[in-house]
Amino acid sequence: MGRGIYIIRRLLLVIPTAIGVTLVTFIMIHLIPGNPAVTMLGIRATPHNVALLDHQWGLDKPLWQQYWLFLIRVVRGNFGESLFYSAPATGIILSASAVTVWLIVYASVISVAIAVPLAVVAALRRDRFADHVVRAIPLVGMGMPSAWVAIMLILGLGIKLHVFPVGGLDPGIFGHISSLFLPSLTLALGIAPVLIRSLRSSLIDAIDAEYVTTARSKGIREYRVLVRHAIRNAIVSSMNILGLQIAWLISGTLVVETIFALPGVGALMVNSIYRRDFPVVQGITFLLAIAVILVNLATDIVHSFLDPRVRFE
Amino acid sequence: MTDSARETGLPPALSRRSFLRRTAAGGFALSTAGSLASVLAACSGSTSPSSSSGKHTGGDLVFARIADPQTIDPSAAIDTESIWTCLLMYECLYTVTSNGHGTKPWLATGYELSSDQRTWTFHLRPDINFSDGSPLTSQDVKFTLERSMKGPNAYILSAVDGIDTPAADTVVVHTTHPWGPLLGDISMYSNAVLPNNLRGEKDAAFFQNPIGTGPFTLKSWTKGQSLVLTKNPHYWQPGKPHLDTVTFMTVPDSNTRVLQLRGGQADIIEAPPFSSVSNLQATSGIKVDLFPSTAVFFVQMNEKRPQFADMHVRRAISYAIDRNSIVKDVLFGHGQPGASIFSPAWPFYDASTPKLWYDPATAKQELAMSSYPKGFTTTYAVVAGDTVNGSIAQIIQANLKAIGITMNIQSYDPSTLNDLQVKADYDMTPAEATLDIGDPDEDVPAMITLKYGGIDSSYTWYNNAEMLKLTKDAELTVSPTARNSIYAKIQDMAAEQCPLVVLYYAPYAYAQQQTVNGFFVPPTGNYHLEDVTLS
Repeated sequence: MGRGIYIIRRLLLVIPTAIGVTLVTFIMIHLIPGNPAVTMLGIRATPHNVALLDHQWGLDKPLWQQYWLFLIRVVRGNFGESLFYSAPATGIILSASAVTVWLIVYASVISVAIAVPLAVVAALRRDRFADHVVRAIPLVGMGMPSAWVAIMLILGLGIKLHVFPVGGLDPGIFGHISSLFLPSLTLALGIAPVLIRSLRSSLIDAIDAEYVTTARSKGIREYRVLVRHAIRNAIVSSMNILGLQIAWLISGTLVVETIFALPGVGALMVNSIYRRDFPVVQGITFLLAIAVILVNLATDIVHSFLDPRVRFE
Repeated sequence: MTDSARETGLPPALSRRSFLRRTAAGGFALSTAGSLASVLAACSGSTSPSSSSGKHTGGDLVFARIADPQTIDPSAAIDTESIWTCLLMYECLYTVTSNGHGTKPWLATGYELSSDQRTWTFHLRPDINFSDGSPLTSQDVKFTLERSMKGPNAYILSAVDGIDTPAADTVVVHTTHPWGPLLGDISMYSNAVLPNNLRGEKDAAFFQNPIGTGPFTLKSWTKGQSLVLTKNPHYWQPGKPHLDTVTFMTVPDSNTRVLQLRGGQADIIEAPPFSSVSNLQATSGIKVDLFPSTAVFFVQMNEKRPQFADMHVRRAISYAIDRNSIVKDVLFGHGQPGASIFSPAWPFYDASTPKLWYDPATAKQELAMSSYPKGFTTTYAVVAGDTVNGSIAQIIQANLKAIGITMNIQSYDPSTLNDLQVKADYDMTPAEATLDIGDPDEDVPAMITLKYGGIDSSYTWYNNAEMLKLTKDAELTVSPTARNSIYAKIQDMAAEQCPLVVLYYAPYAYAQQQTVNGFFVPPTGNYHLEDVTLS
């Protein structure tokens, strides 16, 4: 099967998966106790006020009807009105998603920038001092919870040295780059250790491989051997790992968003679950499911470009 | 209390604040547990004020708050962030005094009460314009009150049966009975004045770009992130506001707020953790204020459970709890042990109300007089991640064990806990009440009367006919002296019967840069930022 047909088939699979995910979310969020009107009204939660809000939000309709209405709206690209903000959920989710996407892309770039040079150094200096140092980093890195790393970065680079803002999101591209640096670095420090390990070991395999020996015997310069032959081949397996890490990041930025006061999807999701803001929760779940599917698909596709042996079946 | 208490210690039942702060705690406290606060505070560092122009007018005040406002429609507001934001944009005829004990004229110059005490005639200040430059008239007030009577806060005007506008500067409010709390009710945020008929716009369109008489108007609102107010050029108080803009940032995590203050990114932060207060006070360039508040923290007990329907059990619990250790160990000393349902910041507070303080021997005697002399097993429900109420629960657990009551602690998410309370499916749970007006009638019916305040005696189902009668008498009495003695009886009776076991009163904590001047918070919490300057 060709790559094109494979991609189309994978994309079509998104539809049943997304429906399945929204259905499960819908059932679960309605199964857990808690009424958004009661939660929202607090001291004013008189039966009269609660009934008014339930009616206004359509929560007095049968569940299947509410789910059907949700599906119809999704097809039209609309997740309904946020119960908490009385504003379109789509806009609220998209503005939060933008922050999280920035964070994830930025973190991926930084993690690659950290991992590749270190892994190359370790692989070339195998079993020597530099290698031992690089191999120790993942052990230490993975042992540090991101909450702690974040606080240390804030204290050092934010409060002591005033290099970066300690939290919040500054407007504009440069504002984003500066204010998202520490949170992205925090995330990157969480991913980089895994990347370093896998890249180092696959580089070592590649350096020992026969095609590298062949390249060297043809008289190609060592730098070119390394970049064109060894790294390119080694990066294939690490690419998959980075893809998995990104999928994990999409659902795992909450802690960092919280510490750095970033208005991202993680914080919005948790708050919306507590508020029982059904439209927002359903909208976010839907988008997250699609994002994870697409990142996995993109990883496979990139993999196929990097490794021509990959065939789609 | 510690900051997470401000965030999370709030009650499931009585106020919307509770939910918001709890949400903040539930979602966020887990990431940076309380102890980090002290690490942060202990690490010294210089702060760079965000405004160093040296001028006393102008500037942008950056204010980091716990939660996002839910709405900027005053009639629909329930959570504190919405309320306090609305009151900077729209104003009431009367407002609470700075000690919280009464009301003072604001958009009105005064009132006359008819001899049958059922007709209140208010005179508007002559010099008031809306933020679009048009004058305030009695039509605007009539429209506002009638609109508010259709919203979720309608109960506050339940005694009003008609509003007349005999002249452009005169509003007449008729009540069904003589109504003591009326001035307080008029000062309720939900009655903050909007232009007549919302200038012909629908709600959604109007609140995109709202018009009010307040010192500030809305500039922008990015939901979940920030809300920016800008100076109202037509404001009626001469020379005010001093600031050009106010930027409210939503920063749910308490430790992050402290970091933003220390890093110079915020000028004022709401609710720094109490554990960090002394360290912040010692930091140069930063000051901390603990403003007395109307917040009362108590334990609700579900009287649909036979144990708690027994008054001796409730009294035994009150005598068993060591409130001093709660204040000392959990609130780091920044609170006041309390046993009365009225805090000293409430109007009509009676200092002579008997207090069922910590006294294990008397607690055992009370339990012996109950139907459960050998004790029983019960459950205390808290919100997961709420470190303050979690710690308090452990102190109460140990206290109750000493008199023979076995108390298990169970954690829930906030909405679930709310649901359990509404369905009377819980034993004990912590809660909070606060006042928004200078009159206790905002909360008393909800706290201790059944089927009258809307939430069945704070979901305790405590039912006492005399308490209900006293509550209504206090409403139907206009004379403050007479009301004072009725509320004294209510406080005594609540102390004696313990429908709620009150634990403590806690202040509103705010930390600011030294460059912020004139920031003051009355016990009702609504700060007047028109008085603030940056140096």
